[in-house]
Amino acid sequence: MSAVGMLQTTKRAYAAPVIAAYFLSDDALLVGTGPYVKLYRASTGELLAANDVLGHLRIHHLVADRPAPVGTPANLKRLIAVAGAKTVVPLTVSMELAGSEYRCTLESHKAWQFCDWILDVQWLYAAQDTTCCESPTQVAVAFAHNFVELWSYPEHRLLRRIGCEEKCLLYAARFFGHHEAGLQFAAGTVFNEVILWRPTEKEAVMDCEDRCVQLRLRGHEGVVFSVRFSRDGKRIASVSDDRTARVWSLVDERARPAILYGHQSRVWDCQFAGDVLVSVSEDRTCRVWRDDANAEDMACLAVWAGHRVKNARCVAVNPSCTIVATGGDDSGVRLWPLDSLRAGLVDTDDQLIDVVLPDASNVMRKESIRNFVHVSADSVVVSTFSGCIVRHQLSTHNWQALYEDIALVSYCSMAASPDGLLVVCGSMGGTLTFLDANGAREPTLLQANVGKVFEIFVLQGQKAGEYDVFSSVVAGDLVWSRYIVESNTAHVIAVFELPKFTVVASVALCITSGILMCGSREGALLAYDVRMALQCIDSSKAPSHLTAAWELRRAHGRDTVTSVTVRHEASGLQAWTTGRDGAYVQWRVQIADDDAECRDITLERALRSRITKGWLERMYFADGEVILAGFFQKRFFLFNETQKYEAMACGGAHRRWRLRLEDDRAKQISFAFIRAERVHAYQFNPATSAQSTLPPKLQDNFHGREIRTVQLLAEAQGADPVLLTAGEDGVVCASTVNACNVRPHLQIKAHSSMVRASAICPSSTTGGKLLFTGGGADELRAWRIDASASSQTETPKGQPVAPAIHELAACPRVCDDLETRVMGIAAFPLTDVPGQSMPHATHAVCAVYSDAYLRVWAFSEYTKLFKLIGQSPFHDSSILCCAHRMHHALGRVLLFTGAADGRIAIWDVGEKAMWQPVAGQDAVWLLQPVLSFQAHQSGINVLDVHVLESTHDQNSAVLGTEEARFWVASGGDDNALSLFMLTVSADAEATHGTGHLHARVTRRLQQLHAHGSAIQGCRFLDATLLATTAWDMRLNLWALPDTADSSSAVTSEAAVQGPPLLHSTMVNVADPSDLDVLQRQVFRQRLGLDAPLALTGKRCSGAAAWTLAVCGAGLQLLEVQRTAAAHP
Amino acid sequence: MGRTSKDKRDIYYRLAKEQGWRARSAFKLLQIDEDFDLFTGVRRVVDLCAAPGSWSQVLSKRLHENTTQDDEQPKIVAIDLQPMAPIPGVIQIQGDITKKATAEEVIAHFEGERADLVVCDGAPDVTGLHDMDEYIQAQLLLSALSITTHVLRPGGAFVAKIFRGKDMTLLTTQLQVFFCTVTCSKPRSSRNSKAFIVCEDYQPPTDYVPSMINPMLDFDYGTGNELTGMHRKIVPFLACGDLRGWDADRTYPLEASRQTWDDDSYQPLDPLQLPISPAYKTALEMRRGLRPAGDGATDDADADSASA
Repeated sequence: MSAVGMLQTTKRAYAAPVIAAYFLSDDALLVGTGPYVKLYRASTGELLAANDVLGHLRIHHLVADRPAPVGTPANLKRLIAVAGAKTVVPLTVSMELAGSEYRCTLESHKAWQFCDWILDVQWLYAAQDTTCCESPTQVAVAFAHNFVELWSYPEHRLLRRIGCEEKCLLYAARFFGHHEAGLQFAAGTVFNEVILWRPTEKEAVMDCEDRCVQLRLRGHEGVVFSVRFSRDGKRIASVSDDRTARVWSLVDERARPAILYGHQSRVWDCQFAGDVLVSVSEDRTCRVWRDDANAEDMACLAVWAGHRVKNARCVAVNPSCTIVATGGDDSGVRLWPLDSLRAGLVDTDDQLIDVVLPDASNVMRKESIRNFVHVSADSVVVSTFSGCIVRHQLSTHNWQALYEDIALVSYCSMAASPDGLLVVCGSMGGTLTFLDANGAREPTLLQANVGKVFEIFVLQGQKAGEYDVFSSVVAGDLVWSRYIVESNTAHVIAVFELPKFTVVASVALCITSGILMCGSREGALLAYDVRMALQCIDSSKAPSHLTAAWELRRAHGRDTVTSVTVRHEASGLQAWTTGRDGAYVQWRVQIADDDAECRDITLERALRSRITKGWLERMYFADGEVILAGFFQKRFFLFNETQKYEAMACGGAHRRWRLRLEDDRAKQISFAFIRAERVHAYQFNPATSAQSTLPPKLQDNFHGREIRTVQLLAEAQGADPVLLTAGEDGVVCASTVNACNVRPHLQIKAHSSMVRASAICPSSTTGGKLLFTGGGADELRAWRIDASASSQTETPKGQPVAPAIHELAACPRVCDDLETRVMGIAAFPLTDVPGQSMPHATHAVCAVYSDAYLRVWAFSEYTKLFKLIGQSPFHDSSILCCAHRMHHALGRVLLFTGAADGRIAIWDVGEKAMWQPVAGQDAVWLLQPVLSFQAHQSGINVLDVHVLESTHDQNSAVLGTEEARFWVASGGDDNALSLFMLTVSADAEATHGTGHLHARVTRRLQQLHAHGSAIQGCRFLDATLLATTAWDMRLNLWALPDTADSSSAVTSEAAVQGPPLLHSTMVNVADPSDLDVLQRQVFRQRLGLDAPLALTGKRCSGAAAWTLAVCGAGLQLLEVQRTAAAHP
Repeated sequence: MGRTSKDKRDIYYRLAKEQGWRARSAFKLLQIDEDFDLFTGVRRVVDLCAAPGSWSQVLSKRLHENTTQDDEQPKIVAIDLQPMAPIPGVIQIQGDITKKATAEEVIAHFEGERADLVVCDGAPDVTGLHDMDEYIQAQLLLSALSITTHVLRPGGAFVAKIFRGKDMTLLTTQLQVFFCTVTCSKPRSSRNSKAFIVCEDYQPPTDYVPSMINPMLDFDYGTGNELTGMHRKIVPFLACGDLRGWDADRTYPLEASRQTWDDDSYQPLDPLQLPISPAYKTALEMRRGLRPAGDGATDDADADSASA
């Protein structure tokens, strides 16, 4: 037992790239992520079992002892070789169906160590027919240096090592066959070839003799990343750096391989899946190719973009070839129904229903389809060049003439009501024609607009049989008219004046709250108060003329606002807009002073999320899920935002297109468009597909690239913490912990570049917190975190609630150079600064930049503006990190910065004068550090500060003044950990908040080889413990020296060796970038430690527990427990 | 990313183009030399994995600077699998460093003598799987070490790129078997997890016979090897290059590197040597329509958004 008690680290939740996947049966999927094997039930998405199998290694391969059975057997037992690096762990997986539940166990056996990197493992049997063999007798292992070893099983004895004449490094290898005789072996080399050789052939040949290469498959222009045999072993598929997959015949060696072009980036792996081949790529997609052994080309049938930003890593197919599973770098595991793809969700022209006009009765007229609307899943109403309005049934190809008008010749704008019963046509002259979609009533005409009717919107009225119709012209007003079925009449209710350069592109009406909102082609969003107009809705009255109550010009930049939706939610009136900037925005609608004649309407942006590089066109709320429709790269897509998966993708961005979701559950979808004067329609009925109940994902998509910053927030109920993360993908994410998985709830892409730093500070207006994020392109953003409300998703009982995050503001850019990066942020409320007189709810945001500047901003929660208060180019080298601490006795806030030249600087950012705004002056303070010193040879990546409570110990009693003491720990690029004790005092005559500070380093310790590589995370746990993490993927815990012990006092330039290492453990996150620590309240409550632990200069080594988060290429939560103390 | 953008982001990328180096890595070797004084008295150098050739450029320049007319002229042999544009004063071999024939060819160029210095700036393309990338990089380094044991004279030095990842300490332990002093050095012009291992005073074990047939297999952290903790042997770290020099992490205004220029209008420069033909060249040409597409190329990445 050490002086600070027993330390124990436990690994908890984990999210990292999924590298291996294997279907045990049609319904059971094994997944390998980091060292963990997870067993999922595909049909329900249930996690059946999970086990840490490989310890500090990462699983690359999962190989079963025998083929997976078709169907879902009640009992299943398999031996799985779990391989990673140079280790194989045999794992017994048992599944037993008890009622509808599975009982599963994963049992790891003793690990086998090998001498080289493993590329494949195969179980071998004594007989050709494996079904009659009880268990395998040998294990074949393939290695990166192109040799194979045969080991006996189960006793694990090396039988033979077999080399090949080709001496080169392999990226991929694959065995085929389960019997020693005839074992085939294919390897993908770094020299762009696939080579085949037989390790077990020619018994007569001495074992030491190298085998000959039997076949060389040449053609790839890059390294071969994976090779797969077809199920019959007659063909090989290989994937490569050259962005292609190739399929080679082993039967006919002269046949040219099929070359599959399409992936936009490197291809990592592939699988034969019955009549298709599936491949996964760095371009984040899984592609499905039609596999025809006789054809030279294989058509791409589908592109599934199921992972974030980058890298779909692995792919597995179930034995029946009905489900494809993909795993990605974003830690997501996605399921794709291959059978419904076959059933028709394929974007080939075969499935298009063409609408061709019947032979025109009058051949003299040039007749063509000009426009159309969808009135049901099976019917469209088209307008023709000659002014005819005709209904067409897709299934029967029946035509029914509805109307003909010379006013509609060559131009007719059209819209259909949501129920499909009313069709409204607009003419060149501004006339609206109201038509019954079944031709049951006489048409009604209304002169609504002046000029060409550009766009028409038909909304279902409040009462049945009433429709609200909005029609717009290019440079004129928006007209609201109402059509009443009973009387077959229409009249104008109101005319909305539009500002200049506003062409309405979308409309939403909320009668209950009396608001009309419209979005424009130029990106503007407008709100009108229509309450007064609703009161005099009588047809006898003159229409009201209304002007906008609220307007925002750049709601979606300069891009078209394509749709608006207004809804009453629990949290109040909400609006959603979609835009051709590829984003959707959620707005809070506030209506002030409800009784006033003219009400104030304001909209506040609550959330913006960019979904696509293309256009977002529509948003649907179907069965509690949000479905977005848009175009990307000439393809139409439906995206389920709630579940985060692409619902469908099919061809064509078109000027005229319509989408109809037939029921609330979006199960019947029809999409139609005009191409070359013809209407083409797709009809989808996913409900009829057998696998439609398949959960879209087994594991959530987390960050698509490296996570650079993590913040742990204490959860109110004291359960697991909430995680705020951001990184290279520019996404800010709030997640909770669900057993061993990280569950992201809210992912917002607001940063245009990577996020490198974040800081949290309490909000002064609400009970929540503020989050500041900064990163590339000189971006610094403010967010509000409302802990109370769950944001979007319904949270099951007992699950921790994720906070809602709202975008508040973006800091103006200060650098001419957009390449400047924000490297670190520290933020605190200015109420903490004594004597300052800034307005309430103002926060200090200290940011350090790659252009060597420290900038101190004031951010107001009310005005949502950043104001530059002070700056300094003192460091003259990129500043890499910063941290601040408030010292109450001193009445000051100190900021600590560390730069790429190895220097630490200490700044007084709580100086009263700095925070005294002078009227009429916008001068920016030039800051000077209180102290600076060399701490490392080169870049300081991280630093953390611990305030030592200023007890009246002997030293300060002698000096007679209040001295503040801090531990400052810094981790460098030079592998070193430095620890400084800093003593700070104010001028004797100084009052709170003013006067000069004096700082000096009083103790100095340095551990030169704290880690094997650059330190990337450093946090104090309490006054006795410090945690660090580095690129060497270790988490080290260090004992802080007793503050009373003066052996490390600064006497010379040399630092004292230390602090001592207490505990070290491997983490499973590659490229660690940040570390955060949260003391666990629950644990303390359990121990009855109600009072906060006194983190003082006195030795505090009581029992405690902390949650640690390490982020990088993934994220890992660990728990550190100190179970006993040695001395008080 | 446009040229201007990359110029802004990375001061060394810009300096390299301005000063005529084929790659920014030239500065890394210059900075290592500042601290380790690699080139004094050196007459014979081998540059492994040399393409595109910036290290050979540095070697050629520095060794010829140090040489007077009367001295023996320096000999630089550059080896790479890829072809490389010629550099004055550098002998080029297009070959595989894992082949014994290549080692023999080098010694032939040195007329039977051994090299004073072997450098290797080679790195494989990374896959993003950190453990695998580290392994492949380690294999490359071990191959470089393997040929080095054939061609380096006792007392000579070896400089190679190393990936500062999880298992770096295992690799450095192995290098300490062959060299008296091993230092991990990170030049200030290096911005990522790549560092350089500087091995001085080559003293192979007495019973060591250089061999290419059995590649040296790297050690593993097994039982007896400490996974964690202070018992791991961590080689000293040295940040090299002038602390007052350019800072690779820093964002500089475009004018910063050109104080001597009269005209301050910025002109982006073309890279001196374009990347050697990439693996995806054919795929790219197909996408751009330069080649007839067989099939499968169904969508077009160049079109960023939908067309109306």
